[in-house]
Amino acid sequence: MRGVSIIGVGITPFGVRAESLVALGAIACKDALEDAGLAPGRIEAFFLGNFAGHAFTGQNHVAPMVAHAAGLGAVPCTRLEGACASGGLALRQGVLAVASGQVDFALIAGVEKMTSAETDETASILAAAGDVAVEASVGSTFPALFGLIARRHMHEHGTTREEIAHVAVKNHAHGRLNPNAHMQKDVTLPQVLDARPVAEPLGLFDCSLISDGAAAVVLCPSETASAHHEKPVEVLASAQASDSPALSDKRDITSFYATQKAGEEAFSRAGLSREDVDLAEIHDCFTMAEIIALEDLGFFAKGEGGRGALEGMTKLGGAMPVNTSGGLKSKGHPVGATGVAQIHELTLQLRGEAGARQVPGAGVGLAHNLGGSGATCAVHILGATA
Amino acid sequence: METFVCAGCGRIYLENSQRCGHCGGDLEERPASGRGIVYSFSSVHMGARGMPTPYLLALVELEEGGRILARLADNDEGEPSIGDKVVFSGLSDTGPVFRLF
Ligand SMILES: [Zn+2]
Repeated sequence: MRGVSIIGVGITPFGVRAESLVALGAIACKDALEDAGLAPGRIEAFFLGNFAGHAFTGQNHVAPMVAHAAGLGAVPCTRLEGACASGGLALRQGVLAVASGQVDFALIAGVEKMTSAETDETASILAAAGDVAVEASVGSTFPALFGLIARRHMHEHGTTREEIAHVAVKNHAHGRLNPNAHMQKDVTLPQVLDARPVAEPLGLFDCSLISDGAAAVVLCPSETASAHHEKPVEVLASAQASDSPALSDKRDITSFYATQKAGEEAFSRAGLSREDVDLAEIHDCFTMAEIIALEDLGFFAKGEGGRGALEGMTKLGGAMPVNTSGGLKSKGHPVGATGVAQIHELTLQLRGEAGARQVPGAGVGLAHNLGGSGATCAVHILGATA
Repeated sequence: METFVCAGCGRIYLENSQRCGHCGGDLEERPASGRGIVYSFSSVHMGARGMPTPYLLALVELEEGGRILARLADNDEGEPSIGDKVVFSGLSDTGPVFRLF
């Protein structure tokens, strides 16, 4: 297997967008190709992360449509679905395709168009990322699953409501600095604590945003990457793991086994330790999810994850800033785009191009992309050009 | 309360569908007291389509072992706590319902 590097990234602003799913995907692809200085005809394989094109917009079979709109011609197009981890899975397939020698140039995109559906319809579509037979059928929604998880985490590990709320305050403070973020404004601790309850103990500001958007990444072999971009970013590790989504199947609902496994594998493949990571994009579909992921990935001991945002360690300027993009919480969460958008943010950071939210001297970044209530997890570790 | 437990994956069913809908394993009948405890709970204010809100969801740990996601019936005591005792009160259109006791 050969080394793989990122030579181009693209993104659309996240939020309520007028463009169709296909148009959003194509815009991000063109943006990434332009960044890489590559003509669309050079791409040999296309992987698209998309969770629920049909349920949200009536359109399935979207990978060749996005590819056609982006001018990719007859390249093999593959759509990946792993709920909220769809983008991470697409990236991983692109990495494997280039690493194996099968292709030299792969384009990866993630896209979701969510805002055309009604809120309760959206809740039902998202609930299908869980085990419908034993969860959605009982009246469970995604916020409800994470409400159950948060309550148990508070009970078992002493995590406080304030610690959980601080994740939202932090990620909004970061998102305010990201011109592509859906909600570019601060929220205060009292606003989070007093917000309308969604699924207790979680309220409106504990939930990520329902957004439209797309992101894209161009990959090539590391040995030729510097010919295409002056600051290629190397994929140091790509790992993925799975678990049952149903909370009733899990021994412990305060951790996600798939995150633990994918995280261990990623660190082992990269030959790095937790201290080597300068910043991370963590899947904060709910505030609580960021805390759990920080524990599962080994950045904090079990039950200590809440300290990250509370004490400022995961804030810009802290020891390891988390979700400098604003995360799913503030940047927005167009489900299929999220895993690729995380890579977009890390790439900007590792190139030193993140503007007001730049982490000084960022050399190693980690992306954690979680599907549903933990049934799928993709972890990627990226490194700046030395 | 009757339960049917999958020999393959351990999932608990309240109706005998012969085979596990999850893994296809054989279901074994297991007598259950219907009693359990609240393992976790959430009061859901923005619910699934067509369901009047708020409603209480609980992950119930059965006395005989294993957990199931269920609705908690409305009660006068207000919010439950983790560890509260619950008892099976029946199957509704939306699956099992337990109540505090
Ligand atoms: Zn089974």
